[in-house]
Amino acid sequence: MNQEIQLNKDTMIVSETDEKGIILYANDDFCTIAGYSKDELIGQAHNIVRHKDMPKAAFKDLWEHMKAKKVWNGIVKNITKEGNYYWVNATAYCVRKDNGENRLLSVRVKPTAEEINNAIALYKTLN
Amino acid sequence: MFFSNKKEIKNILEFLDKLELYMKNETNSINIKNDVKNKNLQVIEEKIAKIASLYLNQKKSDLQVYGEIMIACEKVSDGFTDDRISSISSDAKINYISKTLNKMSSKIDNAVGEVCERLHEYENQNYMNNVKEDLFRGGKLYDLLVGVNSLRTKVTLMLKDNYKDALRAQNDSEVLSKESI
Repeated sequence: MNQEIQLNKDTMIVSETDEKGIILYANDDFCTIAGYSKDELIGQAHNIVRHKDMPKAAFKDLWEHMKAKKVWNGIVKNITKEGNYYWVNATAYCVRKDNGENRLLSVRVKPTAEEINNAIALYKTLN
Repeated sequence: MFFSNKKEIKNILEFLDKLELYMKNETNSINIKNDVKNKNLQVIEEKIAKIASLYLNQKKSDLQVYGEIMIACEKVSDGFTDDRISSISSDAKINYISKTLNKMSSKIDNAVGEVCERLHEYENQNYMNNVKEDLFRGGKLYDLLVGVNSLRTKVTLMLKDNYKDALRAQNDSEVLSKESI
C-alpha cells in the first residue's frame, strides 16, 4: 500500500472516455499498471484512478481544455486498485468520431524525475 | 568571461545530452530552456532550441495519432471492429498506417457483419442469400466466407433431400393406403 510503481519507459497507457469521463476502453498497459481488469475499468468514471494528492485545479484545467478541443498535457499522480501510486506524463485530447460524437483519448507515458519533482512542488501550492 | 563561457557551453551540452535521450526514446519529454547570456552562444542555443521545439511538437502531435492507432488495434484484438482513426499526422507514413488500419477495420467489420446477418437468416430457415466471397482475397477470413457459403449449400441440399424423402414417403403412404382398401 502507498508504494510508488515506476512505469517502464516503453509503457503506453491509453484510454478512451466519453465526454462525461466514463471509460469506454482501456488498453492492456492501463490494466497492468492500475491493477484492474478491462471489465472493471470499462463503464467506470476515469477518476477511479485519481489520487487524492492531485489538486482539483489540475482536472478543472483538463476539462476546460477538452471543452475547448485543445490538447492538455500534465504530470498526474494516479492510484492503483491496491492503493499504490504511479506518476504519468499525460496527454489528453478530444477526437471527433465519424458519427459526429466526441471522444476523449488519453495517452500516458513515463515522466522524468524532474517533471515529477516539479509537479510535487506545484501541487503542494495548489492543494 | 572564459569561465562563464565554459559553464554555458556545459549547459548547452547537457541540454544536447537530454535531447539525445529524448530522441532515442529513453525519456518521454524535454524541457527547452533559453538561459545563455553570451551573445555568440545565444545564436547556437536558439538554433538548438528551435530544432528541439520542432521535434518536440512533431512528437506530441504524432502521439495523438499513435494513441488512436493503439486504441483501434487493441480494440480489434478484443473483437471491436468499429473504431476508426481520425487524427492526422504531419508524417505521411503514419497517415498511411492510419488509413490502412481504417480500411482493414472497415473490411473486417463489413465481412463479419455480413456473416452475422446471413447466419441470422439461416437460423430463421431463410437460405436465399449467400455471403460475398470477394470481400477478402485469401487467408482464414476468406476461408470463413467460403465456409459459410458451403454450409448454406450443404443445408440446402439436405433440405432438398429431406423434401424429396418426405414426398416419396407421402406417395408410398398413399399407395399403401389404396392397397389396403
